[in-house]
Amino acid sequence: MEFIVKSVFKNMFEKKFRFFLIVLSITVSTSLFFASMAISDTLGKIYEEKLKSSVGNGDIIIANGNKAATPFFHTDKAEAYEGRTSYIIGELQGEAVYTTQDQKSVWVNLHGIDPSDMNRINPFKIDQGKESASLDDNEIILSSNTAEKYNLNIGDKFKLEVGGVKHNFVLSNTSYPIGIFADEARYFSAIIPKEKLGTIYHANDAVNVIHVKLKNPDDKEFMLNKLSQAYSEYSVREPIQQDDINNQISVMSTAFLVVMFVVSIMSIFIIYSSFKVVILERLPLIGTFRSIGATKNKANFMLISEIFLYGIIGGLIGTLLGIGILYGMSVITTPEYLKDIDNDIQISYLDVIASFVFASLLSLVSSIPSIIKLSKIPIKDIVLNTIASKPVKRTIRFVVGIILLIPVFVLPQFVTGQLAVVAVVISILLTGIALTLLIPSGSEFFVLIFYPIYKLIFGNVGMLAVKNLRQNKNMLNTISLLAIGVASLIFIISASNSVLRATTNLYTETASFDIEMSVAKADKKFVKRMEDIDGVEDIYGTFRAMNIDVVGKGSIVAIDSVDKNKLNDFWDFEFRTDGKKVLEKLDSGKNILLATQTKERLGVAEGDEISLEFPEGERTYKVLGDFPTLQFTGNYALISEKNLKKDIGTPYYSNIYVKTNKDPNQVVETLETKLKTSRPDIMTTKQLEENNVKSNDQIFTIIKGFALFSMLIGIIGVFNNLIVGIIERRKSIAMFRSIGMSKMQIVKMIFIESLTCGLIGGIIGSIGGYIFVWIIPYIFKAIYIPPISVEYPLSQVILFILATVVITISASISPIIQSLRVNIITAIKYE
Amino acid sequence: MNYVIQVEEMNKSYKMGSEQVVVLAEINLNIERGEFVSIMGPSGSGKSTLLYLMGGLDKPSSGNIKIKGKEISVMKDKEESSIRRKDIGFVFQFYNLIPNLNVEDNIMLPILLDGKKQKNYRKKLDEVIEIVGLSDRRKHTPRELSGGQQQRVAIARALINDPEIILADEPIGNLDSKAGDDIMELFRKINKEKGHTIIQVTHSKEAATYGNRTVFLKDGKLQ
Repeated sequence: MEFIVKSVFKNMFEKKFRFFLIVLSITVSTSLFFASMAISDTLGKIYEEKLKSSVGNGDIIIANGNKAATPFFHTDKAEAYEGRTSYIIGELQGEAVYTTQDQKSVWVNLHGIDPSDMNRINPFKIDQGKESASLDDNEIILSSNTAEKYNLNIGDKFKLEVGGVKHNFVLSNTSYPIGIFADEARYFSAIIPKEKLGTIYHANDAVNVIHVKLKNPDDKEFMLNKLSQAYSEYSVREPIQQDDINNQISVMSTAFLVVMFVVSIMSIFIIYSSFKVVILERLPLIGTFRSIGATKNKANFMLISEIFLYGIIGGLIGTLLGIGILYGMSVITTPEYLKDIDNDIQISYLDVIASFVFASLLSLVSSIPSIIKLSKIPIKDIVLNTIASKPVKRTIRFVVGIILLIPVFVLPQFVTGQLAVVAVVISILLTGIALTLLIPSGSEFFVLIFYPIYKLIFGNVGMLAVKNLRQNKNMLNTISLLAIGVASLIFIISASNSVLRATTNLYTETASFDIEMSVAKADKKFVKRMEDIDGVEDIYGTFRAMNIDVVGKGSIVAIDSVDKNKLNDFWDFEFRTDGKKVLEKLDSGKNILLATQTKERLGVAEGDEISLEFPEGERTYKVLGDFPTLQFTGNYALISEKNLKKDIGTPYYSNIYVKTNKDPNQVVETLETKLKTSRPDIMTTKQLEENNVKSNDQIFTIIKGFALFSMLIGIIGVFNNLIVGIIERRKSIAMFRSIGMSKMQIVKMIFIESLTCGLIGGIIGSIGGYIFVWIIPYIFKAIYIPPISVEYPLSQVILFILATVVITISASISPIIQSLRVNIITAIKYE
Repeated sequence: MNYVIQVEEMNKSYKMGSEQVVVLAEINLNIERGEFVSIMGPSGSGKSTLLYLMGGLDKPSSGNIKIKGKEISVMKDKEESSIRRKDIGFVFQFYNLIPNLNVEDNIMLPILLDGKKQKNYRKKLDEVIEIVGLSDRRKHTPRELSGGQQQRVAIARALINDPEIILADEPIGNLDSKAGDDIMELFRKINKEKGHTIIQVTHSKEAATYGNRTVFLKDGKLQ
């Protein structure tokens, strides 16, 4: 045992470069593995934070409902459950109007709350102003952005109009733009003393919002129940729907799963080829060891111990590096003012342990084929070093590769429902494996194409170089690495571009209106009044129910109402049959039209009945059919106006769509002025589009950056493989030299080999990418993303092929130098 | 005299750790055109080193080696490589063929490296394949051939450019006696009929008898 440990350590330190390469591969793979797991959590957190910035970190929120006689209530009923909560904080929320110097009206969200309480619910950070935590009577906190925008300094006095009466305020503090101050594009927020707003509203110590944070999140159902009973006239709900978060994260998780898979496959290639050389170099030692009586198991144990040690070292450094990467990303993506509040990168012990296990497994899986092969070699051949390498079995691999591609094209088309996710994951895996198996035949095919061209351009050395490519396993490994890398990049870029494009085009392609607005308490009369406003050509109001449970089947994020005479003028939905007829039918009874993805997710068919849990009680609807849409990422349905209005129990529209024959921006301004007192939230379709892009951009940038980073491991692999290739080919290079190959010809040969590897890897990768792109629509379907047109990123593919050539050519510099240093006599005589 | 190789006052030593190990000392050896010389000596006497030095695969520490009157130690890589392609043919103990090339391609390598067109050497290829007796194995790869057959390919490769000199390092050291005899017979035939100068390193007295001169090396010195 002592001998084994000693020799393992000695081996590692003797071949420092190889040791470095293997550990580097494991390290980079582990760090990427770790970071891809953790980044998914971190991105989830970013999204959650984004949602929380408007509602805070409470678990339950109690707010004004439609049924209550007075909007104000007390915290006492909630306080009966104080033992189960971390906090119960009452707040008075209100609205005010600020008139700017150029006489424009800007809406203000007033938060009547003690600043220290606000800090518990939704933390903010004071930028300038007094140090005391509490506010005096007229004092107000604004964001530094707002203060700057309206030229307000600490101590400045200004007026806000609340309920038609002007009140004086003094700016006591400014806050960095976080928490309630984070999104102030169309209005701004302010914190004032609760008592002040209470006096204005005559609320008498009552509040209109209660934030509840639970000690144990598992109590949520119980508390929602109890508080709903206690505040039966008010709205008791979760501030953020976990479904929303999960929905968003599932897309990211799939992307990172792909990245992790690619990273693992690449690492296996790298470690496998490095370890093959390690074994090759250990042969004399193993031969001696075996010849003096060591068993196969003992020899294997020695090698496994060595690779296990690599795994542990790589795992340790990789996890640390992963934490570093994550920290770096958090530092880059977090603004300066958020650093001491919100730099908590999501690291779980489970991720750390999983990374360690991954590193060890990766090392073992990658090295076991070489160890098994070694244990089958007779001792005599090991001692005499007369092991003949077998040629690549191209035909078998080709046949198996083609067979594996059959389910790739069949499975996603025919497997639907819950199993669809499994089917697409299997298809992605099989494509990767098939690609690897088809690479020898693919390379052979391209070699045949390149042969006459190279003969013409590079002469005889060019011919020799392409012939070398046909059987050299290291070069085939290099091609595999590049092909898998390129295919994955195409996959990730194409998928994210499609989603980005589709969300961007949601409004341009399906909206036939120019302006969308939402106003509190906008009923039929309100809409009628709007018709007379200059620039308003046509107008359509809809009711909306959010997060409606479907009994025993799941839930629907949004259900919109349909006015059969208006919908087709404002929205361009692609109904399967005549749009008019479908809407007539929808109107004729308790019918529902489901988005295609929703229909599949709920597992219902046309004619089925479903029970929906509306605020007014459970209602049964008949499924009329389905239609493709990207609204709410396909988690969407339509019900006739009269039914939905009744079921949600409100006469007020959720959304109002406006068509105009004038410049929409100008009409928005007119609407804002005319409807000032109703405080409308108005946006042109172009602004809606921009918002969509913004909200997706950060996430997709991280995913794309990550995919590119995973290419790094491919590049390390290519460098590794080409160096390993030269180590293996020392003898043949010496032979070439002995029969008169000049150093220049060696340089030329390796250069051409590398160039060809890059070209073939890039071309096969782009073909593999094409298959991946074909699978993407089925992935979207499986994770209930509506149909999106997926495009093959041709211009980027050409760039990738060029990049692979640049990578292999730069990676060939070191092997060229090494090959020129080969001692001909030593290589021929003793290797 | 008509010397194809001249070794004059040649020394070769290596540094091993802090010590200088002398491998060859004060070697003077002239090889005439058409000779078949065998170099014999115990293991470690410097036989192979001398052969490789004469083939320009290594540089002497001091002294001169001339091939066809030209001193190789002062040659640039391009000229030295050209001599190895055109004037010298190497045959090694372990054949040293390229595993992924077939018999024809292996034999044609020196032609390819010389930048010549393969089709102009078809006749020559047929001739050398006929000489080494591998007409029925032309499309086989080395791993499909026996040791003796592989060595015949190596000899054919050494002959394809019609070199003046053939250098063979233990050419039958890895073969059984029957295959060994056949190879030595082939060398004799090449030497006699084609007039190639052959220098072989061997341990076998029997193999040495195929040549017309034997030189002995002991402790790096010619005896």
